[in-house]
Amino acid sequence: MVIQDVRPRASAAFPETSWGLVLATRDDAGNGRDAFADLCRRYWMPVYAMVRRHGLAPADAEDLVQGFFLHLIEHGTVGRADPALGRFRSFLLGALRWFLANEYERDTALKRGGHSTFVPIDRAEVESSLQFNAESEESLDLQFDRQWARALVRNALDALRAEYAKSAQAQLYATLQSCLDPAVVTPSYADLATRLACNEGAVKVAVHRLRGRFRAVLRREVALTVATAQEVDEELAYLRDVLAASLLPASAS
Amino acid sequence: MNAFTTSRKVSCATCGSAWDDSLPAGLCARCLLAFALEAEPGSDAGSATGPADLVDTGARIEQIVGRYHLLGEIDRGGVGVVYRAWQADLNREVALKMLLPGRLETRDALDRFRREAELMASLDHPGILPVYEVGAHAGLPYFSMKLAESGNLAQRIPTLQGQFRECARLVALVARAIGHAHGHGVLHRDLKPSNIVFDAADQPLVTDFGLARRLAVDSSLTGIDAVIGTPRYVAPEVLTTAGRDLTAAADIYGLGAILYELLCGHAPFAELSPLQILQQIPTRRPHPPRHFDASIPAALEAICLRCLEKRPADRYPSADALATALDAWLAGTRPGIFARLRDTQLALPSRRRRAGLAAIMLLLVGLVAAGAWWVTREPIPLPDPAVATRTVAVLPSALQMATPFEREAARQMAAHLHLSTPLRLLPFDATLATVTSKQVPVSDNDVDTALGAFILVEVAALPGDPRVAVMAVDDLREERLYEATFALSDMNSVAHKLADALKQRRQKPTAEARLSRSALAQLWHAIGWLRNPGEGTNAMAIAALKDVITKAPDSALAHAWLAYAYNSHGGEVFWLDSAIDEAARAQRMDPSLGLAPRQLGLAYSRKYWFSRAMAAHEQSLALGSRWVDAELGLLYYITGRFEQSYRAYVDDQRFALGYQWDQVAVAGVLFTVGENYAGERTMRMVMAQEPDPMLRKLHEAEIAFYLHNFARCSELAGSINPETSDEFFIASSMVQICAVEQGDFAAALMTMDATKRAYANAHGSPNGNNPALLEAILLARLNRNEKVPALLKEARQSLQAAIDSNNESPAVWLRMAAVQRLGGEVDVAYTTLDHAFALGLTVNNRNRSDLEFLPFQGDPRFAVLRAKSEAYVAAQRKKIAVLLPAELREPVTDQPLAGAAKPSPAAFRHHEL
Repeated sequence: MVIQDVRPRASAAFPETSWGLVLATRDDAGNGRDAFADLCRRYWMPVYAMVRRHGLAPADAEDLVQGFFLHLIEHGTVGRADPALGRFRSFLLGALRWFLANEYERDTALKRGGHSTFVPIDRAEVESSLQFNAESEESLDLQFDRQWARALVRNALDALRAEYAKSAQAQLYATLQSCLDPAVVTPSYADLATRLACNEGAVKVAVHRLRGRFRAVLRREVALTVATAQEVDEELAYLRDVLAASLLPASAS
Repeated sequence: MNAFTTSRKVSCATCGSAWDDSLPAGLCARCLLAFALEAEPGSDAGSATGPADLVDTGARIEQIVGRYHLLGEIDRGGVGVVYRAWQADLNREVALKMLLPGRLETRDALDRFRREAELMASLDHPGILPVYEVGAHAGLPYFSMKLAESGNLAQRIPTLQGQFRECARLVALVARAIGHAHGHGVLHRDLKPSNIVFDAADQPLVTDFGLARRLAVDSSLTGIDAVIGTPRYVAPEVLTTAGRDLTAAADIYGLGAILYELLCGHAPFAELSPLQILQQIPTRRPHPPRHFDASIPAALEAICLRCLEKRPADRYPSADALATALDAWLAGTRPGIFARLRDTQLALPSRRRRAGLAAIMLLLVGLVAAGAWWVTREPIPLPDPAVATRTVAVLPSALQMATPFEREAARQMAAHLHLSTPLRLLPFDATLATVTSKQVPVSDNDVDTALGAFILVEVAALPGDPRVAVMAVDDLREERLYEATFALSDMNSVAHKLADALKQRRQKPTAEARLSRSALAQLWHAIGWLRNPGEGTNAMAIAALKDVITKAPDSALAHAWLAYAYNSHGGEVFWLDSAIDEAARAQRMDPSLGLAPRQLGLAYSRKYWFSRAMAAHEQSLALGSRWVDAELGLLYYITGRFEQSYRAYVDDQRFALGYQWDQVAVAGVLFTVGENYAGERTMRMVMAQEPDPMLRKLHEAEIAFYLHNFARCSELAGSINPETSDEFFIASSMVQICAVEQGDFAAALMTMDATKRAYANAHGSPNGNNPALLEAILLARLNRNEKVPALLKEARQSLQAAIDSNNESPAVWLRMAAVQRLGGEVDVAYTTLDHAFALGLTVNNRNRSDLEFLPFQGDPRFAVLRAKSEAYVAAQRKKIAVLLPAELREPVTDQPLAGAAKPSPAAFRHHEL
């Protein structure tokens, strides 16, 4: 097996667009709408988890999230959430809070949604991964942010896998994926080399490239959700800390 | 899938953050974020937490857990994972539940999981999934349970459609199991069809006690729960109290929701979004099941809706009571306790007068009104309302108790009307057969429904009077169309006048005639539900009436019946105010509607605004309501208008079936003013017809009291059991009064607890008769003063609230005066006492030894007031005496009394206790 160069073709710097721009360019003809819908779809999970934490059953939560996103995609905003400012995460949370707190008309939501459904991933899979903490007294916002952080990482991994697949490297990605985390090397490079039928050095290079690519994709993903390039690091650090907070006993937060 | 092809870790070995199962194996979100930040993963993150709160995070679940070999995953919920497992030593398959690894964050979570296991293991009942073993494996707690192999109830809902008996049977079994749990102090809190599983023998088993908690024990764990059960099955109080202070009633709601889903095929509020449910569940009522499927038995629907009542107190008092109601329905009888507990229309509010006759009168009003007809009668099919509004029925007003003379008079009237009435007239023989049938007795409460005629022409013979009375009423509107008292020889001319009056009704049809057919049918159903609470709930009636009003906002009748529904809705001020609003609106819209002022009067009297209540009732009486006399009689009695009270009760006997309770009331008035002979004779007439030995004993005790035979009264009343009976409160109050009469205050004090308990049993609240004040009075009398100030403070608080709400009850003001007098505020106390007398307080034969008077004994000022009041009562007695038939005033002997309605001597001896 030959390991190809999968270095990014485009710059990994701040993307040409951000969520605010995507939202602003959305028009009735459908331009930009798909891009925004795609962005929303990628953060379906934290929203869904938040709704579930409000005590709704899976199917019901799904309906509500569906209505929420369709409303958002159609109108560009929900309630007083201001798309002109801040991070996509905060915006979505504010909009969701408003939506949860106000009368939710299922009928109109269905009307808006027509026949399309907005359920991007297998809910069963989500459910099983949802660490649904019944007794936790920590704030719902914190839990939302935690789910957000995980969704962000997942999105980046998905994007990365898609990139590799596009260049016929799906098998390589699948094999090396577990090496993404530099702190963990399991299995060993030697094992991987055996599996990939190449030498250990080639594996090291591939892993290094993979990590570099992942970092770029992740940062791009973050960049899409904030307003300025400077905020990328802030957001990354914040989300890292939020996940660290999951170590704390419930009462400590 | 096999959950164990890869081992699961609880948290990241590098940074210690909780594992995210949705990421590819071996990847930690936090480490990856840290990597993208080009910072080293924080190895010290774990030190920020107290190590004592962390469990062994390195635990791995193997395929062998303790004695069990895991075979595969069955279910995965919010709390844990359930595996199918093989228990090698006992050679059996079991279900094994383990906490989800990701949840193993704190000791607290562990404790909760263990608690669930322990709660379930502590419950040994054939309807609860048995727990075999509780254990831990590598730091992970688990417990093994019976393996339920036949699926759960949620999966069976489609096949249960239309199987009403099976639905009732299943819910009854589950209710018994839940009753067992409640008996052991365990509240399930998450009842829903998927938590009822079936064993190999197809028996339902309750499972998933993941949200369960011990009643009133787990206070240390009562934080606000993020998870509160599943919205469609969750009781409203769970949302409004954030899950705190829940009682068994929350589970009864869950059982009702399950029954609802089995009956309708979907859970309550299926038409609403989850968020709407969360917002609206505290106030919005579910559609009645028959809204979806008219073939659902009404009685089963009623049972279901009672479970779903918003107020916990309105639901079944226990899961066992629900099971009993379902079993009773399955056995082919009607849910007696249901109907009995609901009819509040005729009885005044729960804060009844302490002891004595007023309470007995009220009690009997409640008992007879609620108890007389529900036992045997089948639901009456509703006739076509459009026809019924124009249909006339002639009947003897005493129905089953009509004398041959009354029947004949009614027959003649019907024959005359037959020739001249412009409206549809029911054949007399059929009417008579219906109203006099012993097998399917109707009461005058629902005689119009039973006959399918809204216009009733009632014919009554007057006792000791050769004349006949006739009254034509529109029973739905409570509007009198014609009334006359006449000699039989005048039958022809009276019938003509009556026909003329009915003709006017045809020429000037009521507003109801303009209602659409569907609105009228809805109104009709609502009225049926209100009159026969076993058929449908008050809430259903309110919803239906509001709907009618939406369709026809100018329907005064719908507004008036809505007021009726509010008045029957529990007696809280909110509902009473709504009733007043609706009744006043109805009255403005249609001043000829007798129902409107009657409802106004009812609401006022429940707010203790007696003067307004009397005015409204008098107005209603003038318009022709058949139902006001007894209510007015009571109001007159409470406000010291004894002559008027006597007349009202006697009048009520003329056109109502209520001989019995009216007679108890009449006896009460007679005793109160000191006409003891007439009182005793009247009471013994009641006793001769009273089938219940307990009530006979109570009446006997009462007679003994008025004849000043306190030892006998005390003995009789003291033997009344059980403590949970409504009568026990009156009886224990009588024992107390007898002790006071005999000057034995220590004995009276000893009855306090029993009286308090009895009051709480009878009225659902402990404070109505102000036991704090009574206890304070007794303690002060016994010179045991240390607790008195605190008791007085308590008594004053509840009285002040009543007085602040413009309460016109003389008893309330008397009690406040007693509090003030006992507290040493003498002048203030007498000002208050004066007001009580101005409101109608009297010192009479019944109440003269009431404890409330005790603090004033020995005051010269009180002696003056008392003498004045006694003179007033004596004057009232004289006015009543001239109205009394002579034979009633004779002392009671063993000689038989004259008169058809009087009991035979044999009956007397038989009922002598």
